[in-house]
Amino acid sequence: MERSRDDASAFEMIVHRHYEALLAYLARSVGTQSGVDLAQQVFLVAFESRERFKPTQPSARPWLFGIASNLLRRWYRGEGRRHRAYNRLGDGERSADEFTSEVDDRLSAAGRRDQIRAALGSLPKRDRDPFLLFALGQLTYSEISVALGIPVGTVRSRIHRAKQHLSGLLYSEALNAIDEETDRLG
Amino acid sequence: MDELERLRRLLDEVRPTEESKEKTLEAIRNRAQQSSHRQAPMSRLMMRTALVAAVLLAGLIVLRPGAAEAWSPTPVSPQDPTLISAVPDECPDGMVDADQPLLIDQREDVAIALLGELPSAEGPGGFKTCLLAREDSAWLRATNDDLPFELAVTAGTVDERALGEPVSKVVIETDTQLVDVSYGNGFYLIWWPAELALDGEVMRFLASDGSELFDVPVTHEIGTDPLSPGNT
Repeated sequence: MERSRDDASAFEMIVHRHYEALLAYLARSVGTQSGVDLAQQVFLVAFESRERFKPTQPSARPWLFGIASNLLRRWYRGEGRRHRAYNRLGDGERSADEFTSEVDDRLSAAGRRDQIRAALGSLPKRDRDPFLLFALGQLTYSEISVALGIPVGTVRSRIHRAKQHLSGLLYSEALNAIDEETDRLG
Repeated sequence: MDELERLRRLLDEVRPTEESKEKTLEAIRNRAQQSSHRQAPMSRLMMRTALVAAVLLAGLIVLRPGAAEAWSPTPVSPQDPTLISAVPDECPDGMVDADQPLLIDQREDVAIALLGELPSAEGPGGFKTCLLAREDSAWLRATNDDLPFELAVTAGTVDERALGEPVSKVVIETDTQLVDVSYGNGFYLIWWPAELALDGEVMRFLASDGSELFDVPVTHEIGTDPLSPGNT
């Protein structure tokens, strides 16, 4: 990373090293297409701000995931607005076809993923960031602490709270669905 | 397989990793090319020098006699310090994503909101802190689910873009450095570079005649600050 300050091409090593993990995290969080877009944004922001990276950090990983968290938060804001706008528009009657299509969606794997993502998106913002980094990004507590700039103890308590919150939503239900699907596929 | 692993498996889809990585690399190369065309990169020493110069210049502008004359805080209705959970979208340079809790204090006749340390796109250690002061009577309030930016749009009071327009209407000094002030639709947004490390210092707000309005301690520890009794 330090070399990339003077030599922009050196930054490509950072991309090669961290792209896959970051894309996995973002795609799990918001779906593949948005994940791809966000992953590119993460690296562009990181590239533009590479001067600010502290060389004392042993790895760029938490830094990049910190940027990803910021962009994700912004994405959720936009989604929230779109969702509310959609709800306002969607008050009219639906046709039978629309209804059937919605039911099909809900039963499909994609529908389940959407439900899970909606549940994750409904977490309080403060708890969502560390939970997503932990559960979907597979960062350690200390990496999350660096990524979000909060103490490790706070990371722990927020993740714990997020888990409790999710278990009251559709977390367990969805996990059962995965088991069913795994069994079905043998 | 534990629950989290099952969760990840459910959310995993086919990802065009190599293809999208190539596009990202391409985008970075383009960006690098554009940057090199725009200007040669400044050395870190030059950057520091520029920063110091900018701070000194900001100080001169803020301290210039008459620069703060437009500052005329409107009285607000008295109430206890209150915590709200979010702030307008971004600091002026667009680098800070500020939806962290906000501490609000109302003293004398000006409301002050003090932000905690913000994780920023600059990454760990590259924090900025913003402080907002609003001159009219109504503070925007928000729950965890309602962002003030949206509320602000509804109320027609805050324009995100306007926050980037610097207007020196408030004189602020700390023990060591002066900070920058932006103004937009009733909000004063006060910000400073992370390098200044103002945590633990006191910000002094002065009226246009130079008389002292009040001090606000800068803290990053939300929940331990006396201004946040409602914070849990």
